[in-house]
Amino acid sequence: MMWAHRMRSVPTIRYLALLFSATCGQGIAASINGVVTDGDGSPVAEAVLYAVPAGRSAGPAPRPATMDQVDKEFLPLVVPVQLGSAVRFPNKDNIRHHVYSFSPAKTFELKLYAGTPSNPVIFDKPGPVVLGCNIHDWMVGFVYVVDTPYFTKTNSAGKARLDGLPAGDYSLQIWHPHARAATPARPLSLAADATEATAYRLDLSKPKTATGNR
Amino acid sequence: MNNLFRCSAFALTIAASLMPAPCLAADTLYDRIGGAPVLARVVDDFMQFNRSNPRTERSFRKINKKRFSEELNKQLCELSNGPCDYQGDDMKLVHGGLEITDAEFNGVVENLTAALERNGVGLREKNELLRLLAPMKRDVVTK
Repeated sequence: MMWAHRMRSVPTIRYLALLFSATCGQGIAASINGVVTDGDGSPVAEAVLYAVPAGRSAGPAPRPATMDQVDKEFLPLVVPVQLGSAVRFPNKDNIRHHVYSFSPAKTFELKLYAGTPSNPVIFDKPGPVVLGCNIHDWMVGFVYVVDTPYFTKTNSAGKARLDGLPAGDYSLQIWHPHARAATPARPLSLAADATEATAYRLDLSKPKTATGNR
Repeated sequence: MNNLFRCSAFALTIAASLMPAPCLAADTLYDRIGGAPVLARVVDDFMQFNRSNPRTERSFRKINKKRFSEELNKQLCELSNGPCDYQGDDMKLVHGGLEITDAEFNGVVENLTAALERNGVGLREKNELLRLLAPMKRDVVTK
């Protein structure tokens, strides 16, 4: 589980205020609790939940992220990142991989060799980026680029929590690589200190089992 | 027979253009092996042997078979002086981290030998090709 947004990126004054308010039993930042299930009601992991603030706010800077390759698979399946983030592909397999993407949000190829670290890739357009590997053609992974610092993804229980959102208006959105259709954005007005609950039911296609070449 | 056919086709073309020319013997290793069709069959059998041989299957289990075959065809074609341009990575980069042992390498050599023999590649051609491949061992075996 990755909590992409963390308190430490909140500006110092706000952080001090938070410390103060915590002792008084009050917060100033809101939270969102999301639950995602599929058609059968079973939990959906790896769904990206993100809240785009209305109007531009400075917000925290993009943080680097990591997409690894382990036992000839991408790990994790989905890496959500903020626009402008650098993603490393460390290659725990330590064999040759040839990662590529033809996606409009980011077209690139990256040859990864045993014992040779590669430069990170900067994701500078929002949207889904589908990753493949030329050498191992069943490998598939996703980088999902969002234009907000407030994003996370669901854990194996289908739950995701966004913390530290300043009060204000947001567009709450969800994305999953196997979703058959896009889910409309939900407008959300967050009061300071509020915790909103939200639930999604996604219609997922079965991912192709990639056993053909093994 | 293939060579003979090409040679006669060549001679006919030349004759038709009324240019005096000797009938050149096709003598690259690639041609003597039988060119692309024979190499393709050799590579297919080689892959199958590699995957079914317990000594070698580990390295051929999880791979992109299609790409592997295409690249190997190009590489063998180029190596035997055929009209191909192998642009893949060198053998050291390709095998980095795979920890191929001597025994595994030898197993693969045996599989290739069997594939060449099965497709009627002559003793001389077989040995020439294996001799061309042999120096790659130092880039492939890392354990």
